Amino acid sequence: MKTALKWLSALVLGLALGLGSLWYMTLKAAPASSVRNGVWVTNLEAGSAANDAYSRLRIAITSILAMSRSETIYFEAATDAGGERLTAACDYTLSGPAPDARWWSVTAYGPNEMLIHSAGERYSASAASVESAADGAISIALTPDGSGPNGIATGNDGFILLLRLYNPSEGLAAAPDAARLFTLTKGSCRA
Amino acid sequence: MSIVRWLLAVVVVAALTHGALLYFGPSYIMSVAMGRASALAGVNAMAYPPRPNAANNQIVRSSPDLLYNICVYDVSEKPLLLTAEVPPGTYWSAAFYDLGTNNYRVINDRQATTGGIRVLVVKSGTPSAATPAGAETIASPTDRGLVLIRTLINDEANVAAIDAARQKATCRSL
Repeated sequence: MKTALKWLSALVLGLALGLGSLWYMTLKAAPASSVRNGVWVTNLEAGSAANDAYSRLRIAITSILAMSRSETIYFEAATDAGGERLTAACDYTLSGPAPDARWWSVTAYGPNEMLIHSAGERYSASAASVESAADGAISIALTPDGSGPNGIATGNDGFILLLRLYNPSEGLAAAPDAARLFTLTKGSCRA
Repeated sequence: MSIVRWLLAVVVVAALTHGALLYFGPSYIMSVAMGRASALAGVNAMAYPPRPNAANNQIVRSSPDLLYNICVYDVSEKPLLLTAEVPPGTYWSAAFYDLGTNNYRVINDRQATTGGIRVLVVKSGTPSAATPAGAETIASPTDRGLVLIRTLINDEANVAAIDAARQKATCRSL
């Protein structure tokens, strides 16, 4: 009985070490595969044919079925400028000119990374749907029910934003960290 | 049971766990995704899922601004013929993924200059002599994989026309 417990403890510890080391090597100790641009982060490996096993696993976990950078660039925002997680308890505004791409959209996803229910199905704002100012400036409201100009519903929990840029310009694809993207401004919060 | 043997057992189990998940993880994750997708129409058949919304959403991070076609394929026995019509005036792409999650080929609407695509997907290393007329042959790095066609809804008034073009896409074993 005592021997069996020792073998069992070796098995459990071995599994934990194997999983922990894999998580660390794949997601924590990774080379700089992501770049940040304001609140937006993009994974440069998304849609690429990875050269090593850790990159392949990282792509499978974080960006499965993504396309290459020349076809589409995906920017994700999970936090505000202060580093706090985005939450439906606060209102936000995205503002700026349209990104330099053939087409773009911003979509909000709930904690399960699924679309957020709203009465008006206000899941996203896109180049096709937004109304812009005379100077081309775009303002997108992020509110629980999607009310407000070009509003997107954020529901009643935490959420993330995904900015998709289809056929981005060559300059943007080459330097996504320097691209002019929407800025996120935090508005009022509810208790 | 000495402490040395116990430590050796821990190291061996850790190494096997780490290596097995590293090696098989991507194909397992892709297999799960392909399993979910093939539930829509089976293998070597085209699926036409409804436009994603909060009620029907089954795939994480689906875009509500796109209409999708999905073809889960297995070319281990026979090649696959994929045909699709490209609707005019909007973004469209057909992305080919292997079992290792690699996006090994994309054809978009700017590249599909004839208004559509006709592609023969073959097992890697297979001669392309049997390519049907007018078809491009693409070798899949793995026997199993997935083709995801994205069509952008660039105008809500065009949804019916875009969907009608999407419904013409096919994939089948030859």
